[in-house]
Amino acid sequence: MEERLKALIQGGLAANRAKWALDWKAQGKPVVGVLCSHVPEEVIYAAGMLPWRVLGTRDENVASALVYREARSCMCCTHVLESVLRGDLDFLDGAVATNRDQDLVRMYDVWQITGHTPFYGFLHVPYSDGRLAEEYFSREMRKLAGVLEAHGGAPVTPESLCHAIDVHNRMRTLLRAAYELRKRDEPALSGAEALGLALAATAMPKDLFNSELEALLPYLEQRKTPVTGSGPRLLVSSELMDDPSYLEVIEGTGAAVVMDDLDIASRYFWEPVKTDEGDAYDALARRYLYGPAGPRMWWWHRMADQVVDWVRDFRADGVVLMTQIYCRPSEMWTPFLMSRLKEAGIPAISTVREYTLTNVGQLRTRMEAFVETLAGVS
Amino acid sequence: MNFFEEEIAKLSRRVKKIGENPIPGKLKSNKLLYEVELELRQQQLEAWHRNRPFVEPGLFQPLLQALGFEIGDYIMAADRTSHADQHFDTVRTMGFPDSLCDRTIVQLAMLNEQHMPPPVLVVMHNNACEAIKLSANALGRLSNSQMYAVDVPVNAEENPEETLAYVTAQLHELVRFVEARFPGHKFDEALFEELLEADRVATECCRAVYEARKAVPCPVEGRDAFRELRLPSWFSNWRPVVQYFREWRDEMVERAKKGISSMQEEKLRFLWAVSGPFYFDPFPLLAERGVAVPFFHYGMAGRMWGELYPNYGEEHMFGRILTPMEEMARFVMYNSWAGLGHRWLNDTLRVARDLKVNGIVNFIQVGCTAISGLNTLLAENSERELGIPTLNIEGRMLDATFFDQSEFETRMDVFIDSCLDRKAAV
Ligand code: SF4
Repeated sequence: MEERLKALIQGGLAANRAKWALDWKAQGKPVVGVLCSHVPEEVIYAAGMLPWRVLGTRDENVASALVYREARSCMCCTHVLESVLRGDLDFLDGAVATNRDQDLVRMYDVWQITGHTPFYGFLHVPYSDGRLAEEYFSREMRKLAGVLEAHGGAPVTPESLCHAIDVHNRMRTLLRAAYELRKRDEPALSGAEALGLALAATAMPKDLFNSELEALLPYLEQRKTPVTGSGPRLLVSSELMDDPSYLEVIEGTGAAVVMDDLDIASRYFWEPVKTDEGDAYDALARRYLYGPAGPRMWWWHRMADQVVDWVRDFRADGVVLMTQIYCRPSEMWTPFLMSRLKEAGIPAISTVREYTLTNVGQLRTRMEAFVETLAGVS
Repeated sequence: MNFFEEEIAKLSRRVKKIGENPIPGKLKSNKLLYEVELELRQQQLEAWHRNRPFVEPGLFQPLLQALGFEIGDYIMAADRTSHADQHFDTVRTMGFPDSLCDRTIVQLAMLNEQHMPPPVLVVMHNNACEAIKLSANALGRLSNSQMYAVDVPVNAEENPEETLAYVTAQLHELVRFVEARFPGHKFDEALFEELLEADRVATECCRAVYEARKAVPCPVEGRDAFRELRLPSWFSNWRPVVQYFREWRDEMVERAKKGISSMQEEKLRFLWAVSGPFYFDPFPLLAERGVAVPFFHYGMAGRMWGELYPNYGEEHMFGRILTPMEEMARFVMYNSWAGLGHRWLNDTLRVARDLKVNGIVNFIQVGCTAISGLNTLLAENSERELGIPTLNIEGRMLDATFFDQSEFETRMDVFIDSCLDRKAAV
């Protein structure tokens, strides 16, 4: 079982993700690159396509992308564009982007204008809340279904969409069950392993992922991760952190990362789509607007409260903010989150990171110092 | 001194100087401009002393003024600060990134240092750039104000009717939000319409001035082209502002007709785009070499100057007269920066073509989220579609420490030389 768990976790890592897309294509079925956690994967699944979350190249050389992009802009987008321009993503049949932030829009602009992918979809995701935003976003999702159908997708029917929601909700339930096991004194998964699992869900066909994780859950229930030490329990917060090795560095200091606030991990699956709330698109719109959101949205106070709640639920001793350099939404909300954590009496450290893991020594030193402080407190 | 007091001192000096000793050749309407700006700052200072409610209005000045707020121009105040270094230090102390666009972070420092009054309401919008949206969010948090978010679809062109209805509905909701949360604030519809009309007249003047800019030699001095436009509805006493716009238009049109220009011989003309250094005047250098800069192109320029998007009251876009609230919504639907990339690229090329410029100076503001990623495309497209070059030059509008004057001048000289060579070859 341990080998099976490792294989599932490995399947989500950058080096291994393309395999799922290529296998899918070998069956004559299209693959759609997903550029943001606000893209409703259910609609893509319902159209008979594989929603495949795009990550950036791990190569530090991003010279081709820098022809177009400013050096001081979101590094994740720069690395994604580098992959596009090198042809690493030529297997994609389509790509769907959003206005998660303007940086992503501009990366998508270059991607689209340089024309590397057969078709493109774009969804405007409101950053506001309330009925008007929900209705608008719901209409955007319907339009996305039309785009997919026009490019070789199966008709998205109410039945196929409901089925897709069920499958994705199952994925959410399973991942959440796995995360629940991190609340224990001896967590079942390390932070890096948990992120790996979530990443696998964003690349693999969902049915396959679900059956694997379902089979593994009984094993996880009695497992204690071999990675995590006996040091303080931490929550790690970041955007676009798709490299578990960051968490490995933190856990290398003896700390246990017991929860994350990551768009590509906990926030990707935390809340289900509530199908009892009428129309499927409306339900999807609410899920992908609110559940839980990142700093692009206006309601920073609710997001900060969510982090505080997670700290309490998972009995974390402190929070590590790892802002990706030039990720503007993260950079701008960091002072607010730091002050909210201070108010709540939660020790926190704010660090800035690159997209790919660099400066390991510096990160380790800062983490060791933070962990020591926490050990002194507890 | 707070920001208003400093502006009052500065503008008082200008008004005095221009009254006693007008510089020949300078626009006469400048006097009225300084006077209305001085009155605005005096009135804002008094409003602050009297604890009147200030608002960060997004781009909805007419609506928010008609809802009984004092208009706080936080970002544009940042553009005019004389304490940039101090503010950048504060920005860092507050934990904000100093690599984001200057004006958007400096406004936070100005609030923190009490150079500006805290707003009681922040109306956020995404109708320019990510930086303004995020910074408005931070502004609201720092001042513990009420907040309302207006969402304008990035892909507005795909479905203008739906976008118009969506944004209009939000503005109606904003009115209800204000009336419910700010006792005593009632929407004054007649005032709203009057303010829209004042802005309509002003933007109509801008169109006439835009036409005048086409004249060769160029009647506009580069520094004047670079001036930030403030519509009447941003002033609590807006009537003299409308008068200013009329006087300014008349002067510019007359100059164009009579061929009046500060330049002996116009050898080239450039379009200046995005931003520029506010601590250094690059235009004398250009003028010396016979380069006119008739226009400064930025996100709202296409709408405010009216050369790309319809003015209030125009029917052609939707085939009908819009309601005042729809007009307010339409106003924010076409910021050239706020759309998908082709909006900015196409709008910039349209203006460049229209003004028959020989080159584009694209001043890439460090940390500008609106254009990051479009600059190479702009250079490629201007070359391919118009056969003109673009100088992509990186800089900061407020942080003078980033600026290397000799390097800037060298690059500008080389660009001018290459444009002259091209012109000669044609
Ligand atoms: S320069 Fe760019 S980032 Fe700064 S306010 Fe203007 S559009 Fe926004």
